[in-house]
Amino acid sequence: MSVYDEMLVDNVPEPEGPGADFSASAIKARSPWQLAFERLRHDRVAVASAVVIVLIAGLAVFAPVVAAIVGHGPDTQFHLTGLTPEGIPIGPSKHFLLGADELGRDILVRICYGARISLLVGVVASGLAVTGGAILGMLAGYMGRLVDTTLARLIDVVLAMPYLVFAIALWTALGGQGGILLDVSVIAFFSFGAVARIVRGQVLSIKEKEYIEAARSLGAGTLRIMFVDIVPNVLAQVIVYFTLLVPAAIVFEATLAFLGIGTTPPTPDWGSMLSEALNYYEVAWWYVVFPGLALLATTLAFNLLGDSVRDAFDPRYSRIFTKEK
Amino acid sequence: MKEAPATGPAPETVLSLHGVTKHFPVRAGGLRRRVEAVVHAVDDITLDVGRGETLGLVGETGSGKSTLARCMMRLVDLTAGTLLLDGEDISKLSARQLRPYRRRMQMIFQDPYGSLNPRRRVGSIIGDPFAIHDVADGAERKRAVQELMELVGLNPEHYNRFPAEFSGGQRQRIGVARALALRPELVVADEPVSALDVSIRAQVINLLADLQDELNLTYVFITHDLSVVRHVSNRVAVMYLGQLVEVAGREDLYARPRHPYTKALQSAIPVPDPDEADRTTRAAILGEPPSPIRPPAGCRFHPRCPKAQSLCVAEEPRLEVKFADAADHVTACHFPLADGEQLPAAGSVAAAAPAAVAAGATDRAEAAP
Repeated sequence: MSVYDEMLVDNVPEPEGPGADFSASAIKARSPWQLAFERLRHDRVAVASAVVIVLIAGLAVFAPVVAAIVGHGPDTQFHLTGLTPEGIPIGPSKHFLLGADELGRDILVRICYGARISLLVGVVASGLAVTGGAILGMLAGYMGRLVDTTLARLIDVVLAMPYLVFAIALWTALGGQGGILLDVSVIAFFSFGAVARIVRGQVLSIKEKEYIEAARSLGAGTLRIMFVDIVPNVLAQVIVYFTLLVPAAIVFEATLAFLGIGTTPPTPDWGSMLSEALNYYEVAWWYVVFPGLALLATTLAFNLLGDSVRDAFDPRYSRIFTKEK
Repeated sequence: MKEAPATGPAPETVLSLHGVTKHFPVRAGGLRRRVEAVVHAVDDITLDVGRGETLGLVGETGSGKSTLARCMMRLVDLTAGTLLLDGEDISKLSARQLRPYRRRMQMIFQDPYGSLNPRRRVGSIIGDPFAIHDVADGAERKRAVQELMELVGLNPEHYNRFPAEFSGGQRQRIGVARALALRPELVVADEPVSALDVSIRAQVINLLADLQDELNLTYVFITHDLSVVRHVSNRVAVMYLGQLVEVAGREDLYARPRHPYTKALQSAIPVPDPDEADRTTRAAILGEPPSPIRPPAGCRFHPRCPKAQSLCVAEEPRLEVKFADAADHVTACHFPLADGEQLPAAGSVAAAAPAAVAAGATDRAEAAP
């Protein structure tokens, strides 16, 4: 007579059966996504960052409205009102809220238009990098063997390239053509590798889970396993990486513009504004401070939001300064 | 069910294994990845699973039970041997060709936590078989899933919950529901209760037994726990280091174990009565199973066997009927235990057995002083 026989004879009551449980309406099933969103909603840093991002995006979208209100076009030069008789740009004032630049252009309006380029390049380049990296990482992780080795070496090569030198060389080779498209492609090309590595690692570990084997034993094909069972498990990581990649891409774009790569002069761009401002910072502090602040606020907001998103998806790794709720 | 399996004269055997072998190459080195060694996970197993029976498969950790289960389910490619499901050879089919056969054989997994995707709702997990085989859609699928949930004792209203909201036992019920969705003939259960609390085990075992009666299922029940196997099985196969050492009807195996390994496993079952436990002597076998990379020559159990002699090193024993046993009681041993014979106590084994084998003595008694 074994332990189990006795237990079976006793016929243990089944607390797990239907009816013994809570009624379904008492507890609503919330998906991991809903839970993450709930946590995010209660995170003050995340909410503040989101507000800042929405504000900047609003300025970008409504840049023509801003221009119409202050009465200054982004590229219009106001030699009479924007410059002193000696040709020095005027500071923040009633007509030029954030001052004017060396050609008498309104810095506020140019910052608003510049936000368009920064956000566009940041989001599009990060989106491309994340999508491409995720697909390649999935393939490498799931297929393994030759595909994995080939992609891993390719990524090693990409990550080993000096990206600034590459960007300058490409810009020169193209004869100064390309504009935003060049920015986006260079940034995406140098960012996908890291995403691919992260996703590959995730897929390698998920692939060994028993639920993948269960799907195979049910007869699920490769595509179904990838999209139904693996993608939902790597998506959170990919989203987190995306929010952290956006500010990096914005800074990258500003760096390229600062060096005169990508966007060309009359186009308002934070990076090229900062580059120009360096010649005038002694007489026009506003010229360097306000574009710099715009860049700082944007990247900081995205970075903080990215941290919060990561914490929301995985509360175990919350940041050090957790506020009392 | 839209299409019923072809009905002919019901064959007695659902699954038939002939010389099933699975070796895993151990690769080493950087670029070339040479095959350094081979793990003999499952070696030359021949076994029939009869319709409606529960075949218990027991053995220590690392004996190849789970690999054998995966071979039976064709989750891995066989190194050698054939596998017949209802008389059809499925041992060489590709994943795509196997799909229609997957409806007839299903698996219940060991880990109730790892075998359910944490990001998916239970209804969608249990609905997977319907989606994969295009059986039912939309409302029809939902109804089928809820019926299944009820069948395995879950509240159908919990359709929209996530696996994390269930206990271990409930999760195992979800796994059972998923396996039974397409009404398979054969269910391979790989240690379905070993990850559960002892108090929950009985419930899940009872559930499996009830479902067997209700749905006319055939089970291959894998476990390292002989007392579980005794409760659920009609027939028991004992595995050691990738091979079968003894196959017998349950009562036969427990009453008349022939292989020393079976006997040792049996004496390792805990006795729930402490007084009785003191009185029974345990014929413990010593040490751990040798590496399956280089299995011992001859009988694979000989380095740990208290009855080992030189013949055991020289020649591999075959599964045969010993003494006056029933025709379905086969043992792979040169020196099977007679009725009521006890194994020598653990202490003497340690000193005597390896020495006897090493010295090439023909009889262990001679080696003893």
